[in-house]
Amino acid sequence: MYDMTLSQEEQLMLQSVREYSENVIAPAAKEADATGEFPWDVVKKGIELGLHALPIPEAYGGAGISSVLMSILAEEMSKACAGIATTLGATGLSCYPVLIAGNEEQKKLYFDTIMAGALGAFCLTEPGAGSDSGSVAATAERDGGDYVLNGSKTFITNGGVAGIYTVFATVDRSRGLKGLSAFMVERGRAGLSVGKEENKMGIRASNTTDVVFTNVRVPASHLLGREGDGFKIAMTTLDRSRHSVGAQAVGICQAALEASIRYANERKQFGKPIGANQAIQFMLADMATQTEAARWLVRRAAWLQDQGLPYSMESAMAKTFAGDTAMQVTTDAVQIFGGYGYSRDYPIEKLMRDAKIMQIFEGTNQIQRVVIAGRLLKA
Amino acid sequence: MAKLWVIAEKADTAVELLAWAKELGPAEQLVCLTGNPAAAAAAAVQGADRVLLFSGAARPEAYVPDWLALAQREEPAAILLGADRRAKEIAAALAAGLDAGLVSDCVQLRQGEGEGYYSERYIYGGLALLGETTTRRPLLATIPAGKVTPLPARAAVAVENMSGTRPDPVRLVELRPQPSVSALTEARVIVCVGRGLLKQEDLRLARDLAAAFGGEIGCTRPIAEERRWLPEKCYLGITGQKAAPELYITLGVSGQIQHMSGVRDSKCIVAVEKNDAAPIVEAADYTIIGDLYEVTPQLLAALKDQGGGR
Amino acid sequence: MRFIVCYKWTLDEEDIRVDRETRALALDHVRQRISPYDRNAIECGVRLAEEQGGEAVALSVGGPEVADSLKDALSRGPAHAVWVGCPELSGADAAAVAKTLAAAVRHIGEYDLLICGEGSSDYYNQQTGPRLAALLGIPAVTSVSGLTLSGRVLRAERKLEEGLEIVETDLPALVTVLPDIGEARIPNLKQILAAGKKPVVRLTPAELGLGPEALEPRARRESLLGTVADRKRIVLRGEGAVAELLTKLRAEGRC
Repeated sequence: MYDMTLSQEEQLMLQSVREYSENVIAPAAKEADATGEFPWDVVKKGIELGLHALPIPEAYGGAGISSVLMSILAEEMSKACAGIATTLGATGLSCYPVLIAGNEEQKKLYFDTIMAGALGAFCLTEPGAGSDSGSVAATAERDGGDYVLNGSKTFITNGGVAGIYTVFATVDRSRGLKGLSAFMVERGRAGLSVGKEENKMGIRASNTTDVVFTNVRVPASHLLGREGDGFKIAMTTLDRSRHSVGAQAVGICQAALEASIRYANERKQFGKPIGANQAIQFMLADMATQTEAARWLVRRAAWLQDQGLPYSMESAMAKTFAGDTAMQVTTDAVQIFGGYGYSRDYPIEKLMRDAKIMQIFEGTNQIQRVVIAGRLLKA
Repeated sequence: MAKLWVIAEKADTAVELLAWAKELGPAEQLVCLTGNPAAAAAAAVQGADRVLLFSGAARPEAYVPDWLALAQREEPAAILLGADRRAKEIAAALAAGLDAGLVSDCVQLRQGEGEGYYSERYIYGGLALLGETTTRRPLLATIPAGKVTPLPARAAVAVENMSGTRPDPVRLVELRPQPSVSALTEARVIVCVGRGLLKQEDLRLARDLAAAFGGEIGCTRPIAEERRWLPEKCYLGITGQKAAPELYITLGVSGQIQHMSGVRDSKCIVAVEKNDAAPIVEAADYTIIGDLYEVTPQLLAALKDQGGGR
Repeated sequence: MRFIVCYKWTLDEEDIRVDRETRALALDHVRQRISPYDRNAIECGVRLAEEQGGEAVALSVGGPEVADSLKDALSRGPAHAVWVGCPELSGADAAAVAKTLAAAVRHIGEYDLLICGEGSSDYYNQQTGPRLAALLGIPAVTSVSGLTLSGRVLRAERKLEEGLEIVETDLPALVTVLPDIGEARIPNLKQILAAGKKPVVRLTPAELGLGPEALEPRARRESLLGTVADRKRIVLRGEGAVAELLTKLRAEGRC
């Protein structure tokens, strides 16, 4: 029933991504994390491989891969560096509103820009509108054949490095959620400026900034769907991309698990490897079991999506469980490494810092639980 | 009894190959073919019964058609060559022409049962030793230097000059001498650095240690080919330099088989390695588990205190 | 122009385990891959085709397992692939492989340059390329670290033990390349997708007129033993480690 066997092409794609992750991402991860500088060389290589454009269908120049494969690839990249995986993944995220609501010309414009090598950014969150998308304050005012956008977006992944944005703004604040609308905005539009860059705890290789819109004029043809479709588009987008966040969390778990196993074998205390102690063994067993459980929740949600079956509760479960698991597993990894785990000279504490965001972004794990409970009680 | 051939461009290769040929059992004639007068002269006093000196070409590769025609007439039972890149090309061209087997980088060769020769060579990056017996003659083999003692000198045989014009379809434009064979093959002590070395300037640590032991510095393939911190002639491994020093010291070398194969004949291997699960621990005589940045200075200090390494 | 690149589908020796007691090799669960130097060769052919116009063709010889390599090879840029296969070619020796390649090249017909990796990662015989050139009667240039084409003239840099040899020869010719020739690309997702749609010609040695005698090996395998380093394997740690090491080395007369 759940046949997730990869085709030969899919295996080759995984092989390419593995090579990229191990040989290009991994060597750059430590420095990008330490300096917070955007690793353009590494990202450009990922763009060349098409890894920023995973959701784009073949008809629009993408590789048109399944959600299951997308989650496998995201896991692989995140295992090497969750920050760089986030940069590439966020471009994919920004494509979903166009994929969901765009017409042919809009898809062509947006996807051509991405396939030509641009990063994308999904601009929903505002200082006053995090989990509560209904309180978006950015406005889009119709003016002849144009819309004029005003407002400020915050915590935008790729905010300062994207070439094109999908932006959520309200055409009528009084209509609340029903006024929310989605637009495509190119980087070069007058009035679009990049605000302050966040100095983050984790995923420091990724670029997170404010994006400020001051009388930014876009043609009416840049409205995705109709006025008022924004909330639906945003929620569908988050539903569809959620498994990728779960997959990133699993990648972090896997990195922490593998490092812990190696260390348990290498590190000797009292004349034997620390892995000889049951205390460590049980921790490793739990870490491995939780990682495996998270992985298959994620893949099943992706599989449901590929089959055209309902998946939003399952993807919420997958994201929540994988995010919480990443936090737990990386905390345990730091514990196994002891003082070395706490030291910035060793790669373990980075995993713990990177893991934390997995419980927060693209819908906090609390909001996910609201979604899950809502679904349970509706039935 | 059969004729045995050696083909060599260098004098020391020629005399070593003659010693190998002698080991193959009684032969009707040991013949040395070369394009180099110095190799011809050495072969004439150190084992060859017949020496053919070819001339008329800028590169020894151009003699292949002559050697092939001669081999078809004389039917040597075995043809031995050195294991340098030029010789390997010549050997392969001859083997194709004779429809014969060719053992590359042969480490063991002896008469087998019947007409066959038994050979050994390493495969899978040095992970395994393959033993084979040839099923027909001639056998061709390329043999790395340094494994045998040349035969004692005796009265020279005459060198036959085989002059002529040898057209070479590959035209020599220029040869930029730049010996890629480093001092490593001769060194008594080698200090080898691997990926565990974090910065190029830290090579100083390895250089200091090599100096303290009166040795040379070497490296693993990634250090030379990927990071390019040291010239390629410094890299040791199955596809790089091979060495068999008295003492081989590694700093931050994990001990991949492709590397260790190049130094497997070292008399004593000492490793400084952080990871006590690294393969080097199994491949070394002594491993100090520790950070090379802490251990190396300690080693240097101890050597200095005790009046140097030698 | 047509550039034919020969590649070998080899066992990844990283996956091979040696039993320390019996010295037997565990070859099951060993993945296969395009021999690393051959990836550089493919890259070289593809770049030349882009630069000079024309096409790169991937050519491989081997047993049924080679089927798994074709999309991988094609994702690296060649326009199409030719595979000569039969079970007897699994693990065939260099003599048999070169003869089969020569027959395949003759079957392909027109070509300008043949490109091989310097040696394969499994056997590293370094002889298939020059054997192939000899069988076809074309010039061979081995150990090439750089090359340029101007018209029908190939200029190549050979990295030899005694130095760098610069040579020229006329096409058609054969080169064996070192990794210096150019880093092999990581195939991107679209190249992988496109690879599945490229044509593959599958031939057997019999179709090329090669009888069983042509594939007969020139030697009989007697033994294959994993290498086990005969070392002391003494592990030293902690404060006294350095002093202890030097004491031992002095006792052995090593320093």
